[in-house]
Amino acid sequence: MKKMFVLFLILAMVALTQFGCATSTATTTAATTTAATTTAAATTAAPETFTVGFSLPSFEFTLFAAMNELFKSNLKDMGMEGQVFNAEGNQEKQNKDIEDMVTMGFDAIIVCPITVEGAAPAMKFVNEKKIPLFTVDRQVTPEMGIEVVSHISVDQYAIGKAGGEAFLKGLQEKFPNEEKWVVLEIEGTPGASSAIDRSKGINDALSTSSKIQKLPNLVANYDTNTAVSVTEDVLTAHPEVMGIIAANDMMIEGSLQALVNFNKVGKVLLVGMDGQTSTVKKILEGSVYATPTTTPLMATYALEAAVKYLKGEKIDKLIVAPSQLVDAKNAQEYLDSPLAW
Amino acid sequence: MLGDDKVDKYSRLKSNKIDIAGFAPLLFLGVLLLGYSIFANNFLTTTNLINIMRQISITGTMAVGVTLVILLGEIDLSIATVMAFSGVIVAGLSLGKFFGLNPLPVWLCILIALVVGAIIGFISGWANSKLGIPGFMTTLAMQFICEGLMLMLTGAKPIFDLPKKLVFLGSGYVLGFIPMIIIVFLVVFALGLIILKFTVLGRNLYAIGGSSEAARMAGINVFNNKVAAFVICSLLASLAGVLMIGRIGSGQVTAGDGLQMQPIAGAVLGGASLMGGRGTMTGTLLGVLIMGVLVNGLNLMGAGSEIQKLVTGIVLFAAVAFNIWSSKKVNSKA
Repeated sequence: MKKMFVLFLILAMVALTQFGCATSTATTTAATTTAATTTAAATTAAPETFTVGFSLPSFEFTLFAAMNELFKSNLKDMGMEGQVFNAEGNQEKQNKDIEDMVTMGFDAIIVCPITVEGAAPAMKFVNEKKIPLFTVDRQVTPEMGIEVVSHISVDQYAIGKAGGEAFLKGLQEKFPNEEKWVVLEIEGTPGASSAIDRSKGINDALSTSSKIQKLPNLVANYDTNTAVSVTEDVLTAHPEVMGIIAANDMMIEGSLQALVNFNKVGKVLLVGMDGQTSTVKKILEGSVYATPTTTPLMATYALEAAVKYLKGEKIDKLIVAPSQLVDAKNAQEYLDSPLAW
Repeated sequence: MLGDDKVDKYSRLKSNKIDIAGFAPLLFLGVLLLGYSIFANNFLTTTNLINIMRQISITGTMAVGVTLVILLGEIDLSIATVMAFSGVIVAGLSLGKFFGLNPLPVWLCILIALVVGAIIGFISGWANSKLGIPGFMTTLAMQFICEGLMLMLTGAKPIFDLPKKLVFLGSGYVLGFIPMIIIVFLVVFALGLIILKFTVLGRNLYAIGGSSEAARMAGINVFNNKVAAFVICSLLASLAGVLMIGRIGSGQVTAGDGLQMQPIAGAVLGGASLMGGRGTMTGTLLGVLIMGVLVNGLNLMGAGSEIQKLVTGIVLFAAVAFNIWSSKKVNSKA
């Protein structure tokens, strides 16, 4: 038994050294390319290669996984070099990733912070080392004193508002003769800025109609399983509910599942947000009404902005990636487009 | 549930009292049910009671398995991830998404997922009992391994459009109104109850959890029994994964998020001791029910998530404190 354990330890050590080697080669390549770019810049030779690092919060969420893929293929297409770091949902790991990027000598660093407050110390470190910093999706506030070249995001408030407006339109089509529309809003993770902004957008849109009668909001943490349960509970307490709007597609799919359990598919209007492929297919089937999209194109825009900046071009402080409303009319077209994720 | 933990005839005679430690969860559940019947709209309706059962079935299935491990004085942190992993395996195989394989028949997919679950449990149990690595660590490592494999297989994309037969266990109905998921859970619970009450394995788990050294001296094969507990636990987590994809209609890598601790909390709430040797299957069922009813009632009353978290925390704290306090009282009287 002891022997087996020793064998295991040896194997583990071999594996670790392999891994260590892999990282150190990566570092050296990054370093050499940096050296190459500086000389290139000095001699102003035509095709410049820059190295760009990108820190993502986690690969477990489809949107981030899509951003990872897109970023890597964009790097290749644009002839740039770089690396994506996965913080695995852990703020401390993300800060280490960012510090490592500084050490590895990237020409520009793009960060999609788990929380801006948590990533602030590492981003300040990037500032200190005078490396151009770009943020994606979650924005720093001016009081933090962090210098960001450009922030790339979708407008979460606008997405919420577009969802809310589509929701009203759907209610008008489905229940034109009702005096009141009893509706439920399902919120994302409490405290997440996207959840706050989307909810504000939804409510600003819904408040334009006097027919809306909202049940107390429920929270499902952007998670399907929780959304199934809360929707079941609402269908029990308030069988009269006519529409549900959720802050993301994962949750609206949970609501749909609850409707299946209650034999109510098609009787309650559903609007989600994000435009993920599985939900868009539900729109084609007619069980979900609409979803305004979030786009992984944020990664592409961020890379383009970084490269432009490094080439000395002028870029905007704020770059907004477009969102579009997907409903039955354009669902197929959206699925066929390269934007679907 | 009275007395199917370590209370043998002898100690019963000595204490000559009903086991209030075992009684506490039942009492607590009763109070909850009564309170909600009065204050929450539509709480005491068939629909809602079926609802609650459906909502606790997945956590409950995992809790039955983890109770066996907790009885040993060990813990399995990997159950929620194994659950999600199994769901992803079944979903992917049934649609032919992995390794260029053709879509496999549903029964075979489920079988493969259960076997994978059993293997994961075997490795955890083997490392725990042969190498002496704490279950906490082996299962934590397993959690990372499963997460990694899952992400490699799926690229974090949800797997949807699942075959009807596959989602039947999680969202189908028997006789038109009894959700299949509840039947599966009740069968799992009954098997767990039988294992603990009537089998040698059950008795051995209590003995090993009480004192692994004494159990060895008494001629119990500690290795086999420990491995069996971990294997059953992981197997049931895999089964929970099959139920989960029916419930949420897709295989998702994040399906286990937020569920890591709930089954363990349910078991402890039902009177199981994390030190091992103490706990019952009925207690675990009550614990899981308390957690399910608690949240369901608050949802019906339209309470926000801040209140729900606060109340769940207070209840967990109070219930476990009361359990320990009352069991000490019983012991000191004995």
